[in-house]
Amino acid sequence: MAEDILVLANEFAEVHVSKVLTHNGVRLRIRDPKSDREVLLCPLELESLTWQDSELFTSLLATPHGPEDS
Amino acid sequence: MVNLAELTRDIRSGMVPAYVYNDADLFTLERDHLFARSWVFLAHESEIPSPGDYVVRRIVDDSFIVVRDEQGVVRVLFNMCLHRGMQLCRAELGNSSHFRCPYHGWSYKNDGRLIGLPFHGDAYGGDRGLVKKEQRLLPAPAVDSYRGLVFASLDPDVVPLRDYLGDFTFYLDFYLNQSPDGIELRGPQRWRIKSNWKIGAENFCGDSYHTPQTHTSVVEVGLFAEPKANKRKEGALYFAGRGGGTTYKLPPGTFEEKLRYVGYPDEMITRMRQNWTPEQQRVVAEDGFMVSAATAFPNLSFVHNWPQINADGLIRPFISLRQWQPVSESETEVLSWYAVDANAPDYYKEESYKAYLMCFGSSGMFEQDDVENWVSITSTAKGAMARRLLLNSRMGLGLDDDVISQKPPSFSGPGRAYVGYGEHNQRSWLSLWSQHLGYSGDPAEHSPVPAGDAAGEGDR
Ligand code: FES
Ligand SMILES: [Fe+2]
Repeated sequence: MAEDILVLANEFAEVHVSKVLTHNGVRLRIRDPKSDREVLLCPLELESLTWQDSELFTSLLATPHGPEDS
Repeated sequence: MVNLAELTRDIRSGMVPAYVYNDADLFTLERDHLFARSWVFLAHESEIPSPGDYVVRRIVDDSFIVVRDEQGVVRVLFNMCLHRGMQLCRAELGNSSHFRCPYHGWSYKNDGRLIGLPFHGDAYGGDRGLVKKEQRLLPAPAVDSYRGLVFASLDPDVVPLRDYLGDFTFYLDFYLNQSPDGIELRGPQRWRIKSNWKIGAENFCGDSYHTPQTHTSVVEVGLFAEPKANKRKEGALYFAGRGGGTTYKLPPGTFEEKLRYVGYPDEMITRMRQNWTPEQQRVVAEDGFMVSAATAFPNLSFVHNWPQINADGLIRPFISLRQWQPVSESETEVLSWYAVDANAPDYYKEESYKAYLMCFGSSGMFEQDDVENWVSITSTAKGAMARRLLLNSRMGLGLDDDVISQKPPSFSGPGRAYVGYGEHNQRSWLSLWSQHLGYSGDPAEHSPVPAGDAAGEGDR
């Protein structure tokens, strides 16, 4: 079964979001088609996001193109 | 070069130099003085209801992001990256918690703070070279709002918006305050016309005289009965504070009957009763006037009409906001929004929206009629002969500057009002305009404003 992909975009970014069934459970895949990076989040991780405020993401965006190796 | 003393004198006497509608030097003065000091409308709060919602709007050449930040605060930020000056938001509208510059990736939170940049350590030695947290997008020098309309000014010392608008707010509330939740906007439609921006602004603040001529076909096809000459001339023209407008005279009846006549359903009328002051209600009920077109100086106009929207004769009113955004002395970007009482029932919103689309917006009949004239004035005003011509804008004044126009038998609103045709409002608007061009002399010394135009004019 093809996964249903949800595309979320604004003028700054585009991500593809989908539900991924693992052998024994489920994860949420967030993929950035431009860099080909992705993250698979389990329900517990997603729950933890609900108690974050926007400052968490602000700090993640301190390196606007992702991690810098230096 | 423009002779401001002479220009101001001519304008005050009601003789308008034709070249003002297409002159590059004047456009520079308008940009550097008028638009640099006035309050200019940018957006309505209903256009950015959720955190992260933003629209991009302009004051002449300056682009601003009007955004509701993650805390819910409306911010107006100069749309230019602090690094090399790239325009940060290039979409007209969107939603984002952060803005990432397309050029090198400097990133800003939607409250304007610089929060990230690539290779901060390698490129700047970290905070040794650049302290991120001290940097933020340049805010507009002044931001203020009236009933959800967000204005900005390039002048940090501008008077508060309410003082600037003055008593014009009394009339604004007929459009903006029909219920406690105010209005919500749809749109804008946006297009460009080869017309000077002043012509639309002046037209909406007082030109009831063009309606029977320019908009004949609107009556002929049965879209709207009121523009007929005999109807139009019974309306009152008012000017108060920094704005003026036109009205239609309503047939006799109570407050409720008059609002039903223009197509409002009873539940909306009940809320208007509760929301409008006794004086505002008297303008409708006793004086018998219903607001139609209006302009808040300099370039925000309003319209309220009540066309017939189907073959069964159903009449529905609509409200539109429109902005005459100057592009050059001969080009204007028109922004046209549909506005409606946020508490109106859904069926009403739909029918009223249809009424708007039939009359205004890029498909509207009134719009098409008007623009043909304005484009033609602009192109005719460009040449050498236009510099020798003073346009007669003296309607309503006698040869000795005595007032020919009649005052309405009763009028409960502030400012100055006349019934019938007259160009008192256009003269008031143009006087305000000429006062804002940076002329430092006292024009009153040479040419007092005709007494009939005096009230509602000047600095408030
Ligand atoms: S211009 Fe915006 S990051 Fe360089
Ligand atoms: Fe018109």
